[in-house]
Amino acid sequence: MDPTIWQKMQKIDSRVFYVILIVMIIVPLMIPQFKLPIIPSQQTISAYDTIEQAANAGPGKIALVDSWWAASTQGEQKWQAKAVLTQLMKDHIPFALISGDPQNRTLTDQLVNQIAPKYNYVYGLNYVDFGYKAPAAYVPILKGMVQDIPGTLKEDYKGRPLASLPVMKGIHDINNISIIIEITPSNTLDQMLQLVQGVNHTPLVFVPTAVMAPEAYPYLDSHQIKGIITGIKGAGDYEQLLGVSDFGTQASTALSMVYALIILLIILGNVGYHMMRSSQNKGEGRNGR
Amino acid sequence: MSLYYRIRAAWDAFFAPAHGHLFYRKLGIGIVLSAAVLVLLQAIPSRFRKITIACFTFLAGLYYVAEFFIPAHKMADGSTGNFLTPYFEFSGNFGNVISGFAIGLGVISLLGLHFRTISRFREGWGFSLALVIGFFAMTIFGLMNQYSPNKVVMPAIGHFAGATTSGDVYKVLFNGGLASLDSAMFALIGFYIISASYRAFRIRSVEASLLMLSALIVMLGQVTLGTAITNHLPITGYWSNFRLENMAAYILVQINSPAIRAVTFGLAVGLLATSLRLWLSLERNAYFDQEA
Amino acid sequence: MSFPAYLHHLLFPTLLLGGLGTIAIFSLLFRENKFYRFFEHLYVGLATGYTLQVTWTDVLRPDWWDPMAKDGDWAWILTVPLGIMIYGLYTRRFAWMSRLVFGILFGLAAGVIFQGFSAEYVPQVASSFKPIIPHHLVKDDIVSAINNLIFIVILVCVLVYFFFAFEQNSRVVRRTAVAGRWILMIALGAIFGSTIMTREALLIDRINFVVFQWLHFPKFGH
Repeated sequence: MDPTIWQKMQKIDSRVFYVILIVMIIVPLMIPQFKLPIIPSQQTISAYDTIEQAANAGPGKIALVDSWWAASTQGEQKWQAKAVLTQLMKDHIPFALISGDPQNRTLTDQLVNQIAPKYNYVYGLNYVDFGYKAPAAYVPILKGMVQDIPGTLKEDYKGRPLASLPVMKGIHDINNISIIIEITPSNTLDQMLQLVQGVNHTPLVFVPTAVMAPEAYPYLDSHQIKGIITGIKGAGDYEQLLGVSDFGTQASTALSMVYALIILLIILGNVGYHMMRSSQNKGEGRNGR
Repeated sequence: MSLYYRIRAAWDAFFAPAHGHLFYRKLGIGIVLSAAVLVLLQAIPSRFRKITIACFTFLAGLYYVAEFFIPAHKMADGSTGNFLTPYFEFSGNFGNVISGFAIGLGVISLLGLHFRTISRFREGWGFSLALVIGFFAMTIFGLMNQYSPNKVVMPAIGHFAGATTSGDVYKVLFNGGLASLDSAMFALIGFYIISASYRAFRIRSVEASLLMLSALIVMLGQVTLGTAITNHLPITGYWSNFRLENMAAYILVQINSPAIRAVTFGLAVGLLATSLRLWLSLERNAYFDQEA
Repeated sequence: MSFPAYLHHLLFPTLLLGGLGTIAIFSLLFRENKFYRFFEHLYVGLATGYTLQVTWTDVLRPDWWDPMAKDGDWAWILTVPLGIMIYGLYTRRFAWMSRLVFGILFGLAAGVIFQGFSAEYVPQVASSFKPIIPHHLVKDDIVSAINNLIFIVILVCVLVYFFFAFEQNSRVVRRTAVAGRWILMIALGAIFGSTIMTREALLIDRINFVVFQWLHFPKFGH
C-alpha cells in the first residue's frame, strides 16, 4: 500500500529542518533592516531606571556587578552584560566586578576592555575587579562584605591591595554599594538576596538567562528585585533603551523567526500525526468490515 | 588567669602567623605533625576505621550546625553571631583547599586512560593525542598567562606575523578553543529542539494540551513577534491583560511561581533529609559500606 | 575587504579555531564523523587543562599558598596530609584514608546545605502565607487578595499532588491532586517556553560567529 502524504510527512529527515533553521537565523542577521519593532518589557524598563538612579548616588558609592556566566551561556549573557556595563560607563557609575565562575573573570575582563576605552574608563580609577571567588567560599565572602568590603576581599584579582585603588576610596561596607547587578545563569539570586540585599535593601537588578527568569518573578512582585533583564530579548530591549543597536537587537528578530518555525513545526507535526492516525483507523475500519 | 584562657592563649600563640626563622621552624613542626597524623591514622585497626570516618564526617558538619543553633549576639565588630561565626570564612576556605587538592583525581584518571590508548596504539589513539596536547597546552599557557603573559614564545616571522607571546597563545586556546567549543556544544540543543518540535511534541491528552498552550503563550510573550501580534491592545486598562507579554507574565508569576515553589519545598525537604543522612553517616550503599 | 586581507582575517588563529571547532561540533547533526571526534577530544583536553590551571590560580594559590608563603600562616601545611590521603585511593592499603577525606567533604557540604535550608527555604515558606483578605495593614486591594488566594490554592494543590507518603483515599484529596497535576503542566509549559529562548539564543550567537564574524558574510543594507 502506498504511504499516504501524512505518513510521508512523518518521515521527513530532521536534517531538512536543521537547514531551514540555519537559513531562518541567517536571513534576519544578514538584513539588519528586516527587524520587528522592539517594545521593551516593563521589567527591563524598571531595571534601566534603577541603574539610572544609581548614577545619582553621589560620591563614596560603587555598583557591584556579580557575574556567574560562562562560555556555555554567553549567547545570552554576554550581550546582557555588555548592555549593562555600557550603561554603567555611559552614566559614569563606578563599579566593582566579582565572579563566581572561573571562565567569567576572563570573559568579563575582555568585555570591559572592549567598552572601557569608549567611555575613558580606567582600571583602578573608575572600576575594580575583585576576581573569581570559588562557590564554596562565596557565602562567607558575601557575609563579610556586608560589614567590611576591603577587609574581606583585601586584594583585587591581580593581588593589588584594594586600599591602594582610588575607586575604593571611601568604600567600607554594604552602605557604600549603590546597586547590585546579578548576572547569572544559575540559582545564585537567593544567597545575594538573603545575605546582602536583605540587610540594607540595596536596589538589586537581576539579569538571568530566560530559563532562570520565572523563578525571580515572585521577588519582583515583592519589590526585593527592582528589575529583570531576561535573556537575549532583555538584551535587545536594553539596547533599545540605551539607543544602541548591537547583537541583542539583531538577535531579537532572528529569535522571533525561530519561534515561528518551532510553532509551525509543532502544528504541522501534530496535524500530520493525528491525520495519519485517523487515516490508519479508517483503513483498519474498512478492512475489519 | 583561668586554665581555659591560658590554653587559649597558648593555642593562639602556637598557630599565630610567623616570619623568618620562626616560620621555617613552625613549618617543620607542621610537617612532622602531618607525618605523625598519617602514621597514627594508618595505625588504627581495620575494625575501627569505619567509625573513624563517621566521626570525622560528623565533626566536619558539626561546625555549621552548631554555628546555626548556638544563639547569636552582638559581636565586638558590630555584626551578630556567636563564638563560631568568625571561623565561617576559614571553614569555607578549608573546604575549597581540600576540594582543590582533589582535582588531581580526575586529571589522573582522564590522562591515564588516554595515555594507555596512545601507548598501545588502540583505535582512536590520534584523538587521545589531541586531548593530551590540548590539556598540556591549556595548563602551561594558562599558567604562563598568569605569571608572564608577555613572554615571547614565537619570534616575529618577517612581515607576515608579529612576535607571539604566551598571552596571545592563551587567548587563542581560551577564546578560539574552549569558549567556542563550549558554546557550540550547548548550541546543539537548539537543533534538537527543532527536531523534537516536529516529532516528539504530541498533543494526546488534556494535560499535554495545557502544557503546549502555556508554552505557546510564554514563548510568544517573550519575543518581539508575540508583542507585535497584540500590540494593537492598549498598554493600560482591562484589555491590556490580554496582551501576550502580560499573559505570559501572569502565567509566570501567578501560576508558575507557586507551582515551582511547591516542587522546591519537596526537593528542599528531600535535600535536608539526604544531607542529614550523610552527616550522620546513615547512608547504606557500595561506597559507604566498603570494608575499611 | 581585499582578498589578502580577507585571507588574513579567515586564518586569524582565534577565529579559525573557533569557526572550525563550531562547524565540527555541528557536523554531528548530520552524522558521527572523525572531524567531530577530534574537536570533541580537544574540547575535553582544553576544559580539563583550564580547570587544573584555575584550581591553582584562583583557589589553591590565594587560599592556601599565599597565606602560607606570604602571610606566614604556617598552619595551612596541616592540610597537606589530607590532600595526600585523597590519593591513597590508588593503593589498597591506604584507600580507606581517601574515604576519610571524602567523609570530611561530605560533612562540610551537609552542614552548608543545613544552613542553606534555613537561610533559603524558610523565608520562602514564610512568604507563602499571603493575605487573602484585603487589609489596610497589608495591601487594601481586592485584586491582590484574589491573586494571593490563587497563589495559595495553586501551592496547596501542587503540594498535595506530591504527597506520596500516604494513600490518597479521600475524593477531595484525589481531586486536589489532579488539579495539582494540571497546574504543574501549565508551569512546566511555562518553563519549557523559557528554556527555548536560552537554547536558541546560544545557537543564534554561534551561527552569527561562524557566518558573520569568521566567514565575514556581507550584510545587506548596512
